[in-house]
Amino acid sequence: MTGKNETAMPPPARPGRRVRAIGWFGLVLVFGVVLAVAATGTRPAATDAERVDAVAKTLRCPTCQGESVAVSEALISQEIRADIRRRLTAGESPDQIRAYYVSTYGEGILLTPSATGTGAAVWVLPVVVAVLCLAGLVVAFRRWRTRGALRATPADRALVEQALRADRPTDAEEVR
Amino acid sequence: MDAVLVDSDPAAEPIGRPRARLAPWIAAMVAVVLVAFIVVLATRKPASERAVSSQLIGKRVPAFTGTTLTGETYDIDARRGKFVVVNFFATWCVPCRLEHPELVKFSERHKQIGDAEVVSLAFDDSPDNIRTFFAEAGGDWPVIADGTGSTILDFGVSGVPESYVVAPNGQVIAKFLGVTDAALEGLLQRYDTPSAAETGAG
Amino acid sequence: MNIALGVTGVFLGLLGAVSGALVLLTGLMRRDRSVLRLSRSFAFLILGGGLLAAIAMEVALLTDDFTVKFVYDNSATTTPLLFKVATMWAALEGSIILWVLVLAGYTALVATKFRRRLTDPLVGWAMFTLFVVCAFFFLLLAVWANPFQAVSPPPGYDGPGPNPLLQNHPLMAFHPPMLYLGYVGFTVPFAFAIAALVTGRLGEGWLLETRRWTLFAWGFLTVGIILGAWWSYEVLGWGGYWAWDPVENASFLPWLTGTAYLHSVMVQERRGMLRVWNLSLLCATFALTILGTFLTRSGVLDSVHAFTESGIGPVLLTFFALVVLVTVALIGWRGDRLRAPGRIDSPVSREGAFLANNVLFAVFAFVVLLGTVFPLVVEAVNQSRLSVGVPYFNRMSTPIGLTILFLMAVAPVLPWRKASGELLSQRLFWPAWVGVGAAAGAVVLGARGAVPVLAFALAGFAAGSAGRQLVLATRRQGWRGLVGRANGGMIVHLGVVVIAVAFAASQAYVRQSEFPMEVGQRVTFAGHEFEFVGVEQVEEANRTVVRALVRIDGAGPYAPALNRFRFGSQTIGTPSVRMTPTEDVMLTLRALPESPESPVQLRVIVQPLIVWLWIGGGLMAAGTVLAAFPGRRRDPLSPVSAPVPAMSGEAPPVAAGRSPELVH
Repeated sequence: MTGKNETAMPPPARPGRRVRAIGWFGLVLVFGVVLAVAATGTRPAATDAERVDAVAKTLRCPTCQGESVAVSEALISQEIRADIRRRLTAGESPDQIRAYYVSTYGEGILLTPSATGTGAAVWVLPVVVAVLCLAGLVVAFRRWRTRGALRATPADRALVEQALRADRPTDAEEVR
Repeated sequence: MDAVLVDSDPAAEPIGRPRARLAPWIAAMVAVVLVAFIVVLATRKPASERAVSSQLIGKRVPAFTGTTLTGETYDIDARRGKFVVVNFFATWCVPCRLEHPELVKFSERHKQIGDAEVVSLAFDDSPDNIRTFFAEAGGDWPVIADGTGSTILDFGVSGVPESYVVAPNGQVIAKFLGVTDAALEGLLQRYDTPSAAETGAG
Repeated sequence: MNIALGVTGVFLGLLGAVSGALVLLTGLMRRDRSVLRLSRSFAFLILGGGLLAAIAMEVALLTDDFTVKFVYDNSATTTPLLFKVATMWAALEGSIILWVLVLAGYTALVATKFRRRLTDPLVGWAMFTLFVVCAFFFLLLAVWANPFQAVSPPPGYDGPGPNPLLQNHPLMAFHPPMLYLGYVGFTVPFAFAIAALVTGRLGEGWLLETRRWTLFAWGFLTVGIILGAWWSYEVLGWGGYWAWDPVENASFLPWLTGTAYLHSVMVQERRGMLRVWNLSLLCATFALTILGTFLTRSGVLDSVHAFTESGIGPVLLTFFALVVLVTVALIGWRGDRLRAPGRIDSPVSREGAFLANNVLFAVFAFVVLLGTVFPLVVEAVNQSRLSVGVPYFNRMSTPIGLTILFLMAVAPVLPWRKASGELLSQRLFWPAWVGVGAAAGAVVLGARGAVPVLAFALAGFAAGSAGRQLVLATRRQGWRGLVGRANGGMIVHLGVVVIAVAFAASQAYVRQSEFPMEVGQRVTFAGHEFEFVGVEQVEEANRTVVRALVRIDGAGPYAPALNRFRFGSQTIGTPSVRMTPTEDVMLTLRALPESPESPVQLRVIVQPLIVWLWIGGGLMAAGTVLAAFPGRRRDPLSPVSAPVPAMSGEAPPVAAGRSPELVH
């Protein structure tokens, strides 16, 4: 898609503009209603298997290689799944169950590092990197806006010519 | 037409405006981070060789009771005053079969002294298999075959075999994957000469 | 015999690569054009070596030649034919043969494609880089991962066969070759990036030359990843297709940086900017493929798919270190010279969107890399053990994924340079309504939850935007409106949208349950009725299969099975899936029934829209192929696509983006 072709479109007339503004307003309205319905609606009650699975997914199978308890077929995982089921039926909350497993298997059994201590870095670092990237972009755009256009010197021109000459393939077919 | 190497060209000198020498600095920073990363990778042991650790070391042994194969009731909390080797095993597991003679040796010697004993908890195994196995391979310590699931999780067992050594005061002092008589003996001796609890590896 | 053949092949390849690199280096130093021309012969020598090694291995596998260590360890006479062929890449050493074969193939292709420009230092340095990489992998085969070791098997010996999980589904025969074609393919653009850095050749010439190579590598990698997901879905039986396992992440990382590159390279072609960044992305992509190879083959990380650990870890790490240090040093040395003087006028423009895309993909790649290696880093810092798994990756990738969808909706309609609010309002109007319509439709159909519905809305928005572009293009150009980079790219976008919808729906609305079932019993779950008919047992050459026959809504019977292979005590499940366009019903047999009459434990997983994951993958592949065909604007010297104003008098639109003074 080239911008060139699209800028060739005629600029929209005034009345169309007002209609479109109303259209956008309606869009926001409809979307708000849709999201509200989506957020408040209830989902079907979870089956036992699903409640067990939800907890098991957050625990690492202690003996296997990087699988969660929910996925692994190792005996210990089967044991843990049965235990989770027992504990859920006994009324324990998922967090209580996880706390129990941390107390016997250590922090390493959680597939989601806690937000305190060393584990916090895994949550914080991506945010830091994202913010740094955005800040970098903001700075770059600032500088681009204030610096204005560059003045080319004859040396520049020579360089461009030369680069063009160098990069022009001897045989157009080969560039395809 | 031949390409011209730009770096041999005086025209390639800074053009128009003074260029900040940014790239070397950024590259240096990236290099430092990457070198640190490579060092971390290079010093890691393979996942399969990571040291045996346990949350239990230094803590009180988790309480458990059970019925042994001979029909008696076993209660770990009633065994204070002796070293207890809590051994998790299964007859279908080859390393368990390999370590069994070591446990037999240890158990025979300390039965006479009376300062240490072994208790085995089966992991997904049938009483009949275990009886046959003990009849063949020796050993006459209490074995609990049924209802060991929650104890296994209380101890934080990952797989079999695993053995935990409980001191006379009820504190877990070591965890072994595969256990040997000599390792157990060494541990007991070190424990008698006062020193902190430690992690065993086997 | 096979051993002799294979070893000959490996050493032929090694010889070709090492001598080729040395000869080429002298040629480049002395600028001797006749020497540079020789690189083609060396490339074919390497290809010959790779072919010989691969053929020797396949022959050994197919003829059950157990005197070859690799066959002895990994094959069995009873392995079905297809899996015998695939056994080559089912274990470490053989997988390196496939790697060198693909690499040698690419090297020979480059030498052929650029046969008339072999004397150009740029191509010369690229060939040199390719030879060095070839030399490394052949050396790996020759010394640390030699599959052609001799053993003398006892009479009547039969091997254990490949890992049961790997001989359970035909996709295993296709997923690794695709993945390798992608992985290894990134070596070509990397080689040209290194060549550009070494020669200091300004301009976008090398880019045009490698763009399509990158595109193909990326397309193969995409297909490889999708096939891998399909394989795990069909084989592992827990209803999932993506587990953020280190090995999966290792393939996803270069895909992310490759995707970032394919977008930002357009800024360079159009505006001559972001050169250093693009070079860095290419180098990072290649380095990540090596890092991924290290992570999956050294055993430092826990992973289901990891190869058994071996001694090649340190070697691969050394090579990774070498690649990283050389490229970083080259970029540090050349970076300032290559930096472009241009500027981007407005964040709300095509190039601004590409920048945002790059930030997103870079952050995404960082998150995936961090999550993958974090346990190692923590362990190195304070000896404690932590795990990072699915919940972490899902939570982090959700906002990133949603933002990418939003960008996919907005970016295609943005013009270069600058966009007005008026323009956006006009062009985005209908796509936005498509998005809202999609969300409303989903809610009417019963979808609940803010995040999935938001995902559907953004997906609809992005699809509307891509569709708008395609409609405009086809209206203008007919069928050619589907061809070319921009149009093919929009089809790829549609594929991504389809996958995003399927992903969101299957993650959010999965239902599962487990039932103990007696013969003849019926249960109802998630709107389906399941009837357990009975059990059947089949003895096959390499395994015993126990199947539970289950009717779903009266249709079937479907037969989830458990396999016990002749070697290995573990039983491996084969789930049975009823696939429909709206939802998949997956049945898994949980444990072997004790007798044919005793009840079985059946797991039922119902997931909507799964099949669209694979369809979306196909769409992405098709889009990639269309994007690789020359579009309307293909002449690199035509004013519109030439990066810098040509000598012609008229000012092309590109020139407007650069400083006006530059235009003569």
